[in-house]
Amino acid sequence: MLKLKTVSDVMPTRRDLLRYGGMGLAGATVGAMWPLKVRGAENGGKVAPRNNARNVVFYEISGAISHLDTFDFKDNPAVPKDFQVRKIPTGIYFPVNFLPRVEKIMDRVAMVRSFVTHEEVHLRGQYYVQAGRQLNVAFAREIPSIGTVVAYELESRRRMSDTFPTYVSFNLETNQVGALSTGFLPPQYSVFDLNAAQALTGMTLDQKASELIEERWRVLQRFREINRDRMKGFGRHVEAFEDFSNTAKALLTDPRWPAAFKVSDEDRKRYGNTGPGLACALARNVLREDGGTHYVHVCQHGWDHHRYIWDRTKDDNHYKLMSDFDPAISSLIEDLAVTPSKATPGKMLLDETLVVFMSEFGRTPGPLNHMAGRDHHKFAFPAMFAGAGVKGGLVLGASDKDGDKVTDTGWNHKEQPRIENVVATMYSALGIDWSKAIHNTPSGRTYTYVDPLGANGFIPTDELTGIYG
Amino acid sequence: MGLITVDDLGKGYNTKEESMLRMRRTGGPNAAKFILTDELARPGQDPREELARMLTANPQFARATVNLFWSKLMGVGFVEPWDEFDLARQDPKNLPKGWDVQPSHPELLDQMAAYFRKNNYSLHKLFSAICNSNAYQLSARFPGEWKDSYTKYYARKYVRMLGAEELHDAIASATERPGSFGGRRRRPAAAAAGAQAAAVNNDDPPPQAPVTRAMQVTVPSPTGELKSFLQAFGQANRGTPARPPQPSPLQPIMLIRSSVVNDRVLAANDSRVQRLLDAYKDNGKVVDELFLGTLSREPLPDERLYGVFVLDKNRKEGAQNVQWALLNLVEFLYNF
Repeated sequence: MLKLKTVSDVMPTRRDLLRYGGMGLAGATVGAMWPLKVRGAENGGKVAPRNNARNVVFYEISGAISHLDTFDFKDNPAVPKDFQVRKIPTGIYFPVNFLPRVEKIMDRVAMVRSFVTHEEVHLRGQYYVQAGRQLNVAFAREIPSIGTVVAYELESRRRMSDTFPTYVSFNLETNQVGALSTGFLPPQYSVFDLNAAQALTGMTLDQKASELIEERWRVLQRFREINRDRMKGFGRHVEAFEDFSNTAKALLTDPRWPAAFKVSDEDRKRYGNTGPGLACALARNVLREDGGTHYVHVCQHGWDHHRYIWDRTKDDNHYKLMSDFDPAISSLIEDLAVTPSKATPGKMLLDETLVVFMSEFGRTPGPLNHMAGRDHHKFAFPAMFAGAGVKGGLVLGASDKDGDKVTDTGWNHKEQPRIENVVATMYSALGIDWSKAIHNTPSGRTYTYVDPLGANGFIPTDELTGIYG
Repeated sequence: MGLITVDDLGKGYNTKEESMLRMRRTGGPNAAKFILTDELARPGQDPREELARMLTANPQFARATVNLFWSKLMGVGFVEPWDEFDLARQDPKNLPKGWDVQPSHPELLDQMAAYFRKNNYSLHKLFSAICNSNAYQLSARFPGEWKDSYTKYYARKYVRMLGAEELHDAIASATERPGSFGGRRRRPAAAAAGAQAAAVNNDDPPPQAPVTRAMQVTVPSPTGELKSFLQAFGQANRGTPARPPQPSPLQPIMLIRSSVVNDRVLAANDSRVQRLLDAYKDNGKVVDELFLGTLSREPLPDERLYGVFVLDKNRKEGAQNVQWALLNLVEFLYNF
């Protein structure tokens, strides 16, 4: 059945704006350029979403972790002497010395070790991870990020009490693409990207600051009232900004929001007092408060070890990043597993949260390069999944003895899985029909939720069902 | 030994190779060509100067530049987005079958490009021509119901939010509390001489002066609150392709909460608020000056009345709060 939507259907109504978000004016001219009709979801319905998760956390190991030194360990001439590689209970070899706490959560994690990507440079690779499709500069501006599509799709499920943005990210600004825009979707669905360390002070208010805001707010509201008529006729976007600002104030003064930005000293110790550590602690808090956030993207950037990968004297050597990563991701998963869900009595947050962690590609196997590092390698790299019914301890797919080429794709396709399939898995978990497409975007192209066209022809757009056992 | 090609269908990575990402050097010459015309640099000439010559000689140079500044000033470019020219669709008389000409106003774009060339590529002349045009000077208010389809006719001035740098500098200038972007350090001898000059004319800092405006920053490197603030409003990042400003509730949060705003509205550190309170006994005069300095207009009678009421209750905090509220008004944040 053909469902016709006009742009005004997609645009937030005034009431929606009061609930959350709104239009900044930057979107105004772009919005004005839209074609009048956006044809909705006419060709969805080809798949049955699982709807087994309320939330998704995507942890981007950005810059690309050396898969063959971590999750897909391969014996190689460069393995440092202090690596204690052992076979762990899930049957894989693992450098337990440097990912000691991740080893403990591997029984909750399903691994797919057979990924391939189209991209081999960071900008494009990281774009691919965030947008779920290859970068096409000709119409990149109209492509929303995955989180934005989630926010757009989950809008109808927002409760009146929800004040948190649906899509929150931490430290995305540290990677090469930054936080992607909402593309052709309204700015209401934009990412709320926070620097984890700064947000700890920037998002909380003490009593005095709260009172000051209330007092200043009264002055602002009075000036706005006086100008109400003068400011009419400039278009809906100007009016919308005030709603936008009301929303921001509501968020700042919602007691759950500052509560989400409190991290105890004990948490700092457990998660690590680092960018990724604080980001994971905040991700847990934001989900715990159940204020309307359902998609969290955490970015840990810096894994680009072209040189001196095992040199401890270098700032961002592999050891250092592993020591940031290890407590952050494992504490997150441990805590989600014991934090009761506010929305679903009797369930823990991890039961209803799909956690995914992966890089944009792998690193070159074999001996180190002439700078004692590893370069980019796209033919084999792993993705890890936990929570929301994922069967822990599963290891799907396999690469050859060097970690160079994939020998087992790990699912019922001869093609290797790609980011697109992770996107399908996340959409499916959230109950989003990932076979949908939006037609008549500003460029006239069709936006498919999961892009079926790979670099060398069509690729499977299936979700990764194997991770559920 | 040829180049190593890497693709999805190839043999893949040879683990015995040093690296697949570094191109093999074959030892032969590698002649650079200009991307639009395949023209080679003349032998013996500086390749950079040659590139500059070829670039500016190409008709597309003037057209693209005109379109860029037209789109920045008018809100919508002839070609939109401004950096997505399709070179096959520029000449109305010679179009690929089934395609339309790309610019919304091809003749005007050509005329303006010609004007730009004729005036020796003077941006000053170009800005002046655009800003003095009837089209630019239309009111942002539209009588009647606006339809999106009117957009391409430039039937009104398109309201736009100030960019990150513009906004920071506007706040700094309204409160007369300059920013601090570190950067160029002053030599001690030049500092004393420079300080006086800088105080007289902010537009023209001496070469060694510290960077006080976001607009002057060539490589963005702020940290902390300033960074959060600028990023929320789409700070330009010169390392990667420009990111369009991302409307998000972070922006009003920054305006409400950030020290970039809140430190500046304080009646302290020789801020404008402090000097107004010192200079005028009359609260009405202080309110007038706050409006003039922030919104470039005098307060409406009601605004003045309320402003004075707020200051009468608590002079210092009231003035701070009025200054804060003015910085949070759409009228300040947008270009009308």
